[in-house]
Amino acid sequence: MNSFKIINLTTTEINTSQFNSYLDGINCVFKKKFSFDDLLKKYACSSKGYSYHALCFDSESNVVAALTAIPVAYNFNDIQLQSLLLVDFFVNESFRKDVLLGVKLLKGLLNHPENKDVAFVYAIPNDNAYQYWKKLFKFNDAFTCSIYVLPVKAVGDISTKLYKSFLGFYISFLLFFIRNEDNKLKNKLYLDSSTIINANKFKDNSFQLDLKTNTIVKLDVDFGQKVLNIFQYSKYNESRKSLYLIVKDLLKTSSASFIIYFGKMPFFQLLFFRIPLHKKIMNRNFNLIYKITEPNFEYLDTILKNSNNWIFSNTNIDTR
Amino acid sequence: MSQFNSSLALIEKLFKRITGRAVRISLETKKDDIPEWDSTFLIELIVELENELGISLDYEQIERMDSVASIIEIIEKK
Repeated sequence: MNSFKIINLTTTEINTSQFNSYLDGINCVFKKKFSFDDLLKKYACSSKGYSYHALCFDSESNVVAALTAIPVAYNFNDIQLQSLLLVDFFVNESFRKDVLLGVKLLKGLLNHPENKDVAFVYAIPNDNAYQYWKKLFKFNDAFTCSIYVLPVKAVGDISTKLYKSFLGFYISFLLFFIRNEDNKLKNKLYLDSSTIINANKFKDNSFQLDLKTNTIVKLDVDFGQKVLNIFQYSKYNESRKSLYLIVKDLLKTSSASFIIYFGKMPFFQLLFFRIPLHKKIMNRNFNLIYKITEPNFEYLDTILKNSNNWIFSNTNIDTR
Repeated sequence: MSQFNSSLALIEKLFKRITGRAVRISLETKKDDIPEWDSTFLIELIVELENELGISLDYEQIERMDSVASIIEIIEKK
């Protein structure tokens, strides 16, 4: 078996040569073209401003396997919970004979002195990694992410204008029946402001921030159509009412063909079409799995496994 | 057929199912003797064993699974 050495470092501790080797490893295994800056920003978008990396070096100091954990702080009933989001797990093909290498990497990350207070780790892994974490580290299933879609463009300008007017009227109708939602964050697991503040530092020009309504949207072009992706629709009070209000505003200002939201809405809503992201629809599953890592937090198990307790969007996983 | 032989036959069948080729194994067969034996192979083997035998394997047992002999020892203790 090939010899290797595992070193645990924070993003701020990795030197340029190590990071370049890590970047080469990721781009080679995932067949991507991430840049140095892409990854650096991604890892800085955490509750601490940096992430943890377990790097496996071969005898020539090349990174041949790695696992990264992004610290994410959540709130649950006024208690702040520290968690780690596992991302970018890869093992170079020549090192896959050591079947437990991933577990060794994860154990290294969890043993970092700064991670003693981590309540749980979670991931939305690809299908291979899903089985790996489930079988070897006994991760539990929480929920399958969905994509919520609202078409907002019809054929022709006049039809689009009429359709948008209809949608605006329909949203007003829905809002009329919504009662007080003051307790909407009770028993909900939602992102702590420390995570959100750091995530927002690195947003580029494709993001639109509305500080008045705490809304973050991103305009993309997919299959030739403008798609407005809602990352966040109200920083601290993500409720059905705020979602409807935000969409009503977006209809007036945006020229997008679709408004979408990725993740999990913890309430019943009558505006978006929900498409669960199963393998039959996408080329992979989007299952959120978690593992409680500290016995004092075992009580969280019933909370984490219930999808209705999570307020989860693109901001939770793709913080760039 | 003894329990040992039936376990060996089961493992041989599962190896074939996972690799897509006939794999001749014996009690002496080790991880390095099977080129396909990597993390993906092991996960598939665990899933197949759990489904076939209705058992659940824990981390310590999986960690010891590096040969046909160790797999037989683990599943026969279940």
